[in-house]
Amino acid sequence: MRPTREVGIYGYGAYIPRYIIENRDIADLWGRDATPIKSKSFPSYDEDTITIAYEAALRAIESSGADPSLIGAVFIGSESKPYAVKPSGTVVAEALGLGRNILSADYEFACKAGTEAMQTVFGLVSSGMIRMGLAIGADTAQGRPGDELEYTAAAGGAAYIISRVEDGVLARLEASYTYVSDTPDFWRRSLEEYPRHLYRFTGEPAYFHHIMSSVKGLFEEYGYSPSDFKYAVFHQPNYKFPTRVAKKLGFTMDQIKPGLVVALVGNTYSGSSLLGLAATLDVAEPGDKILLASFGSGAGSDSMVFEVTDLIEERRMRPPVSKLISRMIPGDYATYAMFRDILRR
Amino acid sequence: MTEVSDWRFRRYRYRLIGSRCRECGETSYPPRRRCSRCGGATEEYQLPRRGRVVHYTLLKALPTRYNHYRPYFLAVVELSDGTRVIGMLTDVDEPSEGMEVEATLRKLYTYGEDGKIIYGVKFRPVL
Repeated sequence: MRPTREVGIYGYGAYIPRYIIENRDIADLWGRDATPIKSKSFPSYDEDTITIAYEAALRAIESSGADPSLIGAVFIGSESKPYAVKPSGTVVAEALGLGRNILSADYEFACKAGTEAMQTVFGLVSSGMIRMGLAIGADTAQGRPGDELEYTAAAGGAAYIISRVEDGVLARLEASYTYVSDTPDFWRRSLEEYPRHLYRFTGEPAYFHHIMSSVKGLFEEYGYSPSDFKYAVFHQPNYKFPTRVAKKLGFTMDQIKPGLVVALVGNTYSGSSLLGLAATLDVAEPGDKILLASFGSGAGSDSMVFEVTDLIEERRMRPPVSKLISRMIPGDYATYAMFRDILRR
Repeated sequence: MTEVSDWRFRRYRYRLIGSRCRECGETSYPPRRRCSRCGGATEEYQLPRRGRVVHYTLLKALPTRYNHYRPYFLAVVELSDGTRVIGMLTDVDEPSEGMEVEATLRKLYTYGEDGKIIYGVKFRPVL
């Protein structure tokens, strides 16, 4: 897909809560040997998807110097909405001091909801319906105690201010592509506290098939190859999947390394690939091409190609993702259980 | 506070909007209709987000709606424009006087399992 009028990223921001829990601590508790990653972030007792989305969006606005009055949409992609019914975006918009004439809705497409929000804003900005828009992916992902997901389900998010290229962007969107199918690898029924998944089924028919199809489709339609890109970011549910899909598609470790934050941060679901893109933009130089490929269970993948512009230097997020990660401190399982409301007094 | 009156104050809670005296320039938070120093009329004023901890205390005995969040640190924060505000600290294990903090949005409390979630400004260490 290519918008009629050229659009891109005006500013970006990310946020990760302060606490991490070591995978080792979870594995010891449940008597397991191997762990998928080293550690994962978890929200403090007073954080949720709304506060994480706010932090990421605030950082995007402050770091880029975007005029909040020009923002005409706030879409939040998440599978951990604080309210089942009531938009998260209106709280975030009001807390950021945005105007009242904004489009706002919560998007859900498992881990793909963040890039889905971006695609929507690309279209709205390109059509001229709005001047700028905020697309946010944020989650405080749930993992049932003892389940495989407990090792990786993390908290964090990233926000992107989308504008037309003529308004000045730090990265220009060259093309995007999407691939979806009815593949039930992971779901959460209404009113259920935790999601369910089909174990290894989340791999080949879900994650790999959809990302490979979306990236290959993008390459075929617009004539790209892996060597065109300085960096690539793939959805990161664990460390193994993004490194394997990169290899299968012909990308090197050097291309994916800057955006691969999952080993320490965990899978931030709707925030995952967007957080990886933020970490990549933190180190990208003008002229670099970046491939972004999300994945959402259920299932689908959005692929996007960005070319970084000269404006990157002055619009980089402050502080960078690496600083958000280095400030994190370990919490034990009891703290995790209390903050995640698994343990109540 | 009720779920409705909480809503009426959301502007001030979410965004650190205080007041400034039209006569003498005195600022305050929460906003006041009349200046506490000279009695003059005031106007709304956007306070800066950054400041430093001047005093703090640990609160352990709290209304039940804060049960999930206790104990917490309450601090007097001097903002970068000199305005002093009282606010909750978050993401802090052990505060110190002079600690640099910035305002952020966090959950304050909820009206039970099915009630509203009340968000508002808290201060955390500068990232």
